[in-house]
Amino acid sequence: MVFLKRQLPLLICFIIGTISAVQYYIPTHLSSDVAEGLSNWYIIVAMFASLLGFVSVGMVHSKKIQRKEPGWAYSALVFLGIALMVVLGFWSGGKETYDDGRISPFGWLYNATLVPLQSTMFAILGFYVASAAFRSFRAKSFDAGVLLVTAVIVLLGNVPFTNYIWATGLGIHDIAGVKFEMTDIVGWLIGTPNAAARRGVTFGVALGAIATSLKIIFGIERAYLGGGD
Amino acid sequence: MEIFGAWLAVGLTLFMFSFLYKDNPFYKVGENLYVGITIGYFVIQLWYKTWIDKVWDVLKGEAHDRFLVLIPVVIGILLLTRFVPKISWMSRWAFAFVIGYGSGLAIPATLTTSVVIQAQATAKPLITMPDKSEAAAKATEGAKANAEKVAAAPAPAGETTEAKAKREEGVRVARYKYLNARSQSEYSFLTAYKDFTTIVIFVGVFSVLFYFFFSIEHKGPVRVFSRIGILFLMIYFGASYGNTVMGRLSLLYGRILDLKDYSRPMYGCATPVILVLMIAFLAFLHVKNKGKEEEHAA
Amino acid sequence: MEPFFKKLLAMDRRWIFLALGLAVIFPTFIHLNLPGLKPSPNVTAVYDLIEGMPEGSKVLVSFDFDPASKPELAPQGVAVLRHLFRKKHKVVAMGLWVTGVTMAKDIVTRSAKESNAKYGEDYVYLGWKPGNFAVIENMAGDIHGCFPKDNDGNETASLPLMKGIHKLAEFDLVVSLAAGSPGIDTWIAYGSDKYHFKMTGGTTAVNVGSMAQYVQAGQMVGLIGAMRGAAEYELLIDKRADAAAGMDAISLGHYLIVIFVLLGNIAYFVTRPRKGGA
Repeated sequence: MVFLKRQLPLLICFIIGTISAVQYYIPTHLSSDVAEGLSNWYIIVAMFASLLGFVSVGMVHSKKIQRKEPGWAYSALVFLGIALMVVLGFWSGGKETYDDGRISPFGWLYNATLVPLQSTMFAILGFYVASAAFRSFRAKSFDAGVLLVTAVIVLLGNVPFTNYIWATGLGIHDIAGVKFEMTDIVGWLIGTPNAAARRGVTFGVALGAIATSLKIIFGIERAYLGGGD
Repeated sequence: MEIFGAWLAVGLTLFMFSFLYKDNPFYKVGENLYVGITIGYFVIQLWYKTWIDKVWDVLKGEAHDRFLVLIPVVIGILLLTRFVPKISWMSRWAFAFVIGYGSGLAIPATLTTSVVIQAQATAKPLITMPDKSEAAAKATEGAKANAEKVAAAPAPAGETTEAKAKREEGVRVARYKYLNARSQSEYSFLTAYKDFTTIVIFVGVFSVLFYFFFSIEHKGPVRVFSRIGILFLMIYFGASYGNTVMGRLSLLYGRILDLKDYSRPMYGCATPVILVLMIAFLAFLHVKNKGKEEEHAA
Repeated sequence: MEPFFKKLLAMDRRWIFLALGLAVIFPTFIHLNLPGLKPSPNVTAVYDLIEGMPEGSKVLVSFDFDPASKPELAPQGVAVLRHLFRKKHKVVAMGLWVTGVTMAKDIVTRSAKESNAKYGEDYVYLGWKPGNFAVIENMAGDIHGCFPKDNDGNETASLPLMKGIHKLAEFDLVVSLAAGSPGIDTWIAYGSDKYHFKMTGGTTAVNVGSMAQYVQAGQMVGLIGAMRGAAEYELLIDKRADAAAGMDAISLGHYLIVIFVLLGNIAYFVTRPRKGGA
């Protein structure tokens, strides 16, 4: 029983992990067939993994309704949303538009609810960015000053009108052939020091990800098994 | 239905925006509805695009190996045993497959894309040697001739300001092309600038890596180099903030545009009507709660 | 001066929200048409790449974003599709983000209708499958196996355009319009670096900094960044649309935020406690 609960999952992880890693370097038809097969299986399993998430959310909200916790009525709205979308989705046969171009009830509900809700959820962040600019963005040290100056240059440079004032108004286009308009300054900042810093971070993250993946495949990292025996 | 859809979209948009005033019932309605609608949409897409297309239709088909598709279905069902405490240990097999596949595929992909190729792009020659070949000299001559030709072209009569600006831009572009060609065949200011850029990238990458290397104490030359890394990181964060502002403002503009569109009479002036109703209701709630607070205080 | 700045710092942040709201709303009613928009080298590189491909080239366009990023990436998608259809390239569209499926279909259908492109011959919309990187890996081996049917339920193998395309590497170009991950980095890591096809794309302003390293390393050709990049692309294809119109609002918002940053710092330095005694 211990083998089935503990060792077998580690063995499955090792075999699948090794095959997926090694097939990348084997340019044969068998290798690509294996890669294709495994990826196809993964897509189907991903469907069930998504269901796992939905059932978890459903359980959290249904508990809230059962226990009549504060705000339980809002949890009922979650189920209302699911029911509406699922019913209209099946009614429309999963199609957003019919063959004649008419929008289906499923497509209509998507445009009338999901689009405005999701869009607005991220749009309100714009206001918080402005608030942070005024209340939190302080040049309290040299490093913070560098951050602030860069941010202000990028903010100004991202506006085409600033480049118009700089290039057409002040007449600054280049220095001995090196392009020096506001757009070029921002482009250099993003394409050179920013890219360099990002690359340094990428190296670190990539090496960490590779190390963690190897630890998972070789069974050193077992958090995914969960607790218990 | 279109007008009803417009009113629904405007209502939900303003519900979410009401959070800027403070957390309120409108926002909570929008937030919870969003969770439910998203899950419902996801379920329909999974059913038709994955279950029907990749499992059901395959099983109904005539391929001799069609029953192999039941293997991932069984693995997927094992995932769901997580909700049955007595047999939840079986979900470990499924998780092992998912995690193992993802981890295995990530190793070569990450190594190639994020390490090898990025390292190649960093380790470029720090000093460019001029190309003294005939082809490079010819290219420079050609670009020079073209730049001179464009610069010498007379301004047409009655040229507008916009046309003049465009012509001057054309002269600049031809000159940049010549200077760029020249920088390949001889060491010029532009060549030095390109080398400077390469050096900045080289120093930036290594100094940032040094900053994150905690196995040795950051003192002396190591401290100086990691301080340079911090400066590069500050430029990265500053640029990220600047770009984030543009991103968020773009999203805000998108919503404002939709709200403006739906305020037209053809949509029943949805935006102003719903806005007024919401403000009235929130004002009513504010007065009611203030009254309750004063009662409690008394 | 100090009491004024102290009051300013203690101001309710909802006044800041109101100021920003007005700055963004104002240009939607009164078009300022601020000048100065010029195509940047990265956007020009994408344009030149599509412009230079022979007519009838096969291009995969992956709409890897959801409605949250629509204002930035939808204009990019429309501009790129207009260019592709104008050059008579063959377009296969799909997406890796589930909540963007319907929106992407709408973008593709409208652009195709505008260009009189015929479904199945000039363009195909495959839709979405779960799995992120696994979808790319699956498409690399067999696109018809990954997408046995298109988004509307038509057999992929029956579509004339798809008859000649079986693997990812057979595309002349892959364009990923991405709001994050899975997106450009996923297509590069699991796609173009392994199967060696040409890669380009567009992304949101937030991710431009992260994608710069791939452009610098040559793993992708150019990059369309944010709504500004979309506006620049519209300029290049000579068809000003949503993105160009939005730049006025973005511009005013940016200037306001710069003023907030400078004002906030001035207020901080004026009101901060002095070191040492009186």
